[in-house]
Order: sequence, then structure tokens, then C-alpha cells
Amino acid sequence: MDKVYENGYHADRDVSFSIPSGKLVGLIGPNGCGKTTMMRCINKMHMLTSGDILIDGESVIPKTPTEVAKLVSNVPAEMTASFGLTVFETVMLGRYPYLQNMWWETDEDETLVEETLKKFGVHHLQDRALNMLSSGEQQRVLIAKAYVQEPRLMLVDEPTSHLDMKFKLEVMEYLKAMVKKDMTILVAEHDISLMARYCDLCVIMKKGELVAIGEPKKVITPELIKDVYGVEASVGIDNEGDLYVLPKRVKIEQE
Amino acid sequence: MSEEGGFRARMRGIIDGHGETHMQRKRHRMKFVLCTGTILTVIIFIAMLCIGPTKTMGPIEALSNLFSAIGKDGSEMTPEEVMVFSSRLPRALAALVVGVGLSIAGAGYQAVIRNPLVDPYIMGVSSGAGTLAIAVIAFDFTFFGLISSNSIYLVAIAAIVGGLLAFLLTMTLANRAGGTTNAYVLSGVVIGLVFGAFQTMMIVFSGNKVSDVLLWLFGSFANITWEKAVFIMVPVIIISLLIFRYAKELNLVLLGENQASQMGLNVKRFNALILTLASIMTAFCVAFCGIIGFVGLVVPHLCRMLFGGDHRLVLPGSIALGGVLMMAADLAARMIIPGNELPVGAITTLIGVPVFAYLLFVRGKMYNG
Repeated sequence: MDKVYENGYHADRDVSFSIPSGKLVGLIGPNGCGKTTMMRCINKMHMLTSGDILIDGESVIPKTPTEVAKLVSNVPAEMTASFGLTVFETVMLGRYPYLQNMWWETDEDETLVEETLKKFGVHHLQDRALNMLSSGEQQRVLIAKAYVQEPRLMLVDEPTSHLDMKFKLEVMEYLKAMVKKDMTILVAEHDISLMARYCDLCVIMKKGELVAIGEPKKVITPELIKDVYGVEASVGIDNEGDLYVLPKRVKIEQE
Repeated sequence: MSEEGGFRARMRGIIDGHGETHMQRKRHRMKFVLCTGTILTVIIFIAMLCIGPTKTMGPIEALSNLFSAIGKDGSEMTPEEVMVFSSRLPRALAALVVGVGLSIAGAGYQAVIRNPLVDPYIMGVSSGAGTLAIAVIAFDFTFFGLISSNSIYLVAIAAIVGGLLAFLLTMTLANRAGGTTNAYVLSGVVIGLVFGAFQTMMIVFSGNKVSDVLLWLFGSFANITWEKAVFIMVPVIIISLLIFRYAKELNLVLLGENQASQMGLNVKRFNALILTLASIMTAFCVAFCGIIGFVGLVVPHLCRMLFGGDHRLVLPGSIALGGVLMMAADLAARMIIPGNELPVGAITTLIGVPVFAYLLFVRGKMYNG
């Protein structure tokens, strides 16, 4: 999979990279660095000012929204009120780009949704309303919905921002397990240690520009964190060989 | 407790059937909605033909009068035939269609704006329609002589023009304000207030016409003739079917604008389309019958609570329940005090509130968050 991204718009400036298929890719950068803008350009929610995005060598620009929806799905950070839709119905909406019948979904769609619900451990909740679940469960449902969309690329925007430690790890485990198929996942996330543990590749951005791309253990260094976040941090490897980032205190400048 | 559980389970069995899969259960639910909807509609429709303040007849008598009147092609009808064919039948049809139209419009508005408090009048249609209708009723406004002042369509056309004018102002304001769902609601409220202010001023100066004005504003099916019924029916049926086609998209927009557009739907255009269709339909619904509240707000909610949030069930359910509730209310409006018509909008509220309160009590949690 190739993805080239260049944009004259100042949210993202001359960002260009490509990622291979079947990888879990972490997108790291401070608030306002253009992560979300980039994701929105990839699934054509925003138009590119210039440049191009290629998925499997094909540009997304001439594609219709439905064609893009079959290639790229996205998982929002959180869901607003679901208005009484059940978990099953929500996940089933992921099949919308593929629907052929006038009215009901096919049995094949239902089988896929059932299997996906089991895979993400939310099968027992399928008849509940979405807004009655815990945040972790909601996040899993939203990932399941993006999964049944059968995309080549899944965009996940800050999936764990309001989850506690255990749910964070669970969500990342599900993402990691999913990536083995011919699906690439791009996750934007602030927890660098978590990203380093799970991601195959890290893309690091700052002020709309690409800073580094590569394996987490190679690219994440104290110098890089100082450069991108302006924070002193110690980056180490724990006893089991996992990378961790420990930020130091910062000085608040007062007048 | 167990008995109630058993009762609920049995009700579920009747509504859902005993299908293994979701799709089987939904198809069964659909059949249930269609069957009970049709049966209830037919029963109340026939009751509408049978029962009236001047004479109440049995269903067979009413139907035989109806068919003999149709056979006579409108000439030399007996008084009973006239009563059933020329008075009660168009009135029943109008109540049915307005009930359906307001319910479908309400369901569409609620989904697009994603707010359960929204009703078909949220975009200012009712205030605009009321303002021009009052101008006609109280001040003989004739569109500067364009329409004859004794035309039966004059008030209706004024109401439609006023409703659409208010709707266009709301849309323009909302689009300037960013076109978000909140912008629609707030613009609708503001435009509604402006027209409401004009209404109050005109009512104050309407003198001896004030009771005519209030009668229109409260809503009534009392003066419905065949011409008027057809004038409402054709556009409402067409627009209902158009909105019906978008049931899946209405489900999709419930996920929020970002998610829906990411799934391949042009959300802004879709929202504008649904709001426009629903507003035109609402304008036609109020044209002859005035502003009948509650149905458009509550029927979609009733359907969501009874059949779930999927619009492929909410819309058929709204058709079934909307018509039935409106016809029942109209029947009550003309029968509670024989010889005196009560405002049908008050009746819809009185019938609907207990049912709604019960369901809110049992299933209200679905709106939390």
C-alpha cells in the first residue's frame, strides 16, 4: 500500500510518506499538529489543496464517497447520542457502503456482523442501546463497525483518550489482532509508550510537517520528544524489552 | 414480577416472532407493524364513516351508503349518502393523511436534527403559515388581488406560502450560521418567534374575526370537502413515499455528521433535502386543517419505543400510528360534545400523553446521554 500525501494548506505542509499493507501504524504528534486533518483528507472528508493520496496505487481523488468508504473506514474518538439504535444496528450500519437490497441487509451481512460482534467481545450486548454501554465497550462497538466496513485502511482517532489503563490496553490488543489481515490501521494517539508497545511503525508529526517515520524503538528518542513536544523526557527500555517514555516536569512561564 | 416478565416476553414474541436471526425478527416485526397498522386504520376509518353528531349508523349501513353513492356518480344522493360520501369520507381521508404526513415529517426532522424534542413545526413552518392565514382570515389579504377572495383555496395557499417563506428564511439563516443541526434548531426558533410576534399583533387587531382566527390556529377537520382533501392528499402521499425511500440514510445520520459522510453519504445535501421535503409536507398538512400539535412529535417516539430505533420500522410504524391517532382524535373532537367541535390538537394531546408517559416510563432510558 502506498500513500503519498502532500498539502499546501498550512494544517499539513508537504507531508509525504508511504506505509506497507498489514501494519499497525501509530501517528504521534502534539495537539494541532495536523493528525486529524490528515486523516480527514485520507477519507475525503476534507479536500486536498494539492498533492495526492494513493491507496493500492490508486488515487482517492476521482473516487466517489461510496468507493472511498469501501477502502477507508474511521473510528471516532467518541459517539454522540445514538437515538435508540442498538449495538447490532450500529455495527450493521458499517455495511452501508455495500448494501444492494432496497430495504433489509442480506443474511451474509448479518453473519459477518455476528462474527465481528463475537470477535470484539460485544456479542452479549448486541440488543442494548449504544449509549447504555461503558466507554470501553462503546469504543469496541465503534471499532467493530469500522471493521465490518472491510476497509484496506482503518483510521482510528484517539481511541483511548478517555479510557482507563486496562481498557486502553484492551483496545490496542483488538487493533493489533485485527491488523493481521490485509488491513492497515493508522492510530492517532497521545500515549507514546502505548504506541511504542503495539505499533509496527510510527509516524511523527509536528506543526503540519513529517518529522520521522520508522520503527518505534529506532525513532523515539529523548531528542525527538524534545523537538516535537518541547518536553524533556527519559526514554528507556524496561526489563522485558518494551520502550517507555517518562516525561520530566516542565517549567510554566509566568509573567 | 414473573407474570409481568411473562407478559412482556409474550408481547415480544407477538411483535418479533421467534426468528433465529435479527433479520428474521425485523422482517416479522415489519409484518406485525403492517398488519396491525392496516387493521387498526381500517377499523377507525370505518368508524369515522359510521359515527357523527347528526346520525350514527352501523358499519354495513355506512358502507352500503358509501358504495351506492359512488355508484350514483354524485347525482341524486340521499341525505345519508351525502353525509357519508361528501362529508365524512373526505374528512376521514384528510385526518388519515395529515396524521401520516405530520408523523413522517416529525420522524425525518428528529433523525436529521438528532434531537428528540423536535417536531414538524421546529423550522418555523407553523408560525409562517399561521401568520399569512390570519392575514387572510382577519384582514382579507388576497395576495394583492391575485386570488379571488371567495376561493376555498385562499387560506390554504396563504398558509403554504407563509410556511415555506418561514422555512426558507430559517434555512438561509441556518446555512449562514454554519448549517449545523444546532443552527437549524436555533434559526427555526428565532424565525418562529418573529412570525409569532406578527401573529399576536394581528390577533389583537382582528376584532370580531378573532374566533375564526383561533379556530384555524387550533386546528380542525370540520370543514374538509373533497376538493380540500385531494389538495392535501396528493402532495403528502408523494412526499411521504419520497422520505420513505431514505429510511437507511436516516439511520446513518443518527451516527453523526462525520460518521455518516465518511460512509459515503453527502450529509449536508441529504439533511437539506429531508428538511425541505418535510417542511413542504408540513405546510400542506396545516393548509386546511390548521396547526395540530403533538402528533408529529410523539408518534415517531412511540414507534421508536415500540419497534426500536431503525427507521425502516419507525417510518412504517409512523404511517400506521399517525393516521390512527389522528382519526381517533378527530372522532373524539366531534363526538365528546355533540354539535360542538373541540379543537382536534387538544384531543391528540389528551389521547397521546398517557400512552407516551407510560412508554417513557418503561423505555425512556434509550434517550439518555
